[in-house]
Amino acid sequence: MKSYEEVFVHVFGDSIAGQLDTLEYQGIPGWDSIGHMALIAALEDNFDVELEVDDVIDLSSFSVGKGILLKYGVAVDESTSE
Amino acid sequence: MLKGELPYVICEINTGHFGNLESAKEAVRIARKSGASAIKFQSFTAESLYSNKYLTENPITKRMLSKFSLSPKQLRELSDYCSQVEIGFGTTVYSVDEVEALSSLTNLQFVKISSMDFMNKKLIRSATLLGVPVVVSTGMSSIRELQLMSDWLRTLEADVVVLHCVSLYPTPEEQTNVGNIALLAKLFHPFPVGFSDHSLTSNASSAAIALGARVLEKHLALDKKRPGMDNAMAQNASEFEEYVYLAKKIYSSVSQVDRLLSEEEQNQAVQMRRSAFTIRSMSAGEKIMEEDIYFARPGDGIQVQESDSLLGSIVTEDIASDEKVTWSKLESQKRKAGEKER
Repeated sequence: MKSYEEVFVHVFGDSIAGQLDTLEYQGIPGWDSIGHMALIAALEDNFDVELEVDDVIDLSSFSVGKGILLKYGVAVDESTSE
Repeated sequence: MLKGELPYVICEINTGHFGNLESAKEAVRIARKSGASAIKFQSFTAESLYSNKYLTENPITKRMLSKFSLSPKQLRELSDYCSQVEIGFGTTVYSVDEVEALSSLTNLQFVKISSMDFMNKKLIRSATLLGVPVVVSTGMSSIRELQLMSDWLRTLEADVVVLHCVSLYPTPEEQTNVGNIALLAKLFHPFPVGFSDHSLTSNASSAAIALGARVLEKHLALDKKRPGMDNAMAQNASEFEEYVYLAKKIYSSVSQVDRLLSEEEQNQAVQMRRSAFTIRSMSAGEKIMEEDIYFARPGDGIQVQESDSLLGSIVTEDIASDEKVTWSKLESQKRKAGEKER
């Protein structure tokens, strides 16, 4: 299983690694509506969860995503330390 | 043609309501406040857009579309709400079933055929049976396809509006190709033409109006920061309001085709045109020559366009130097001849 950060880097590329904490939807060219679907798919596959559509829409930044995944029992901060 | 003042501005909310009826009503209120002529929703279901295979392979897309789609009952409620708020209601249809679901709506101002269905004759024919204008978008179509469809659409005896559209989201300004408006107007005559604008600004729409577009469509987003299907190119509420304002202003400046002079402008001629003045004092009996006069403001005397009649005239009463020349102190054979001819 990848860490939460690794999923983002996998979807959007290595260049975002240093800016994850401030990363927002539409903040980089790759995170558009298509990129968002790819991100959600990658997160769902990686953490074996199925997000509610409202959560899919609300996941508008790297930091917000942590809180959303927590609702599904995924403690992101723990996963990142693995 | 669509009912309402021109330009007819359609606020496209698409999935900006995220499937929430109250958000959809909020969009209606924003559209109304902005001065838009109508708001347009989408009648799609996941199944009327994508194959079963695609949806199976892309379950998130299916979940999203299912969440964002509006049921016939919700569309009816929104149509009624639009009546209440006094704004036109329209929707894009993707299947004959979706067309039929609209048949009992009383506030349906138009039905839209998206670019993906521009050549879907079965769907377009069914839409014309609703008895309201059918607005068709032409994105992704070649000139040959446009020609074929223009011939076919004219056979329908339907009220059709043809929108120029570039199916890029957003469309870079340099790729909006609004010069096509004139092409479409010629190709689809007598149908009115318009522009479905997917660019980020108002510039292309302004140009489109100048080129003859009378119907405009622009996307509205309630919250551009939320991941949505078209939020990247949609306008927020204040941007949309500005868009409608500009569209109306531009239209008001280009819609008058006949040459009309207002009383105000006619009065300007008195101030701003030139009249004849003498360079030197002239005595009765002298003939006015070119070197005797100059033309300057104000324009309430003998104007420069009368110089042919003025030159060669005989002074009948002394004129001081730098005095405005008047016909009462002149005898002009050319002027007399001109009057006789008239």
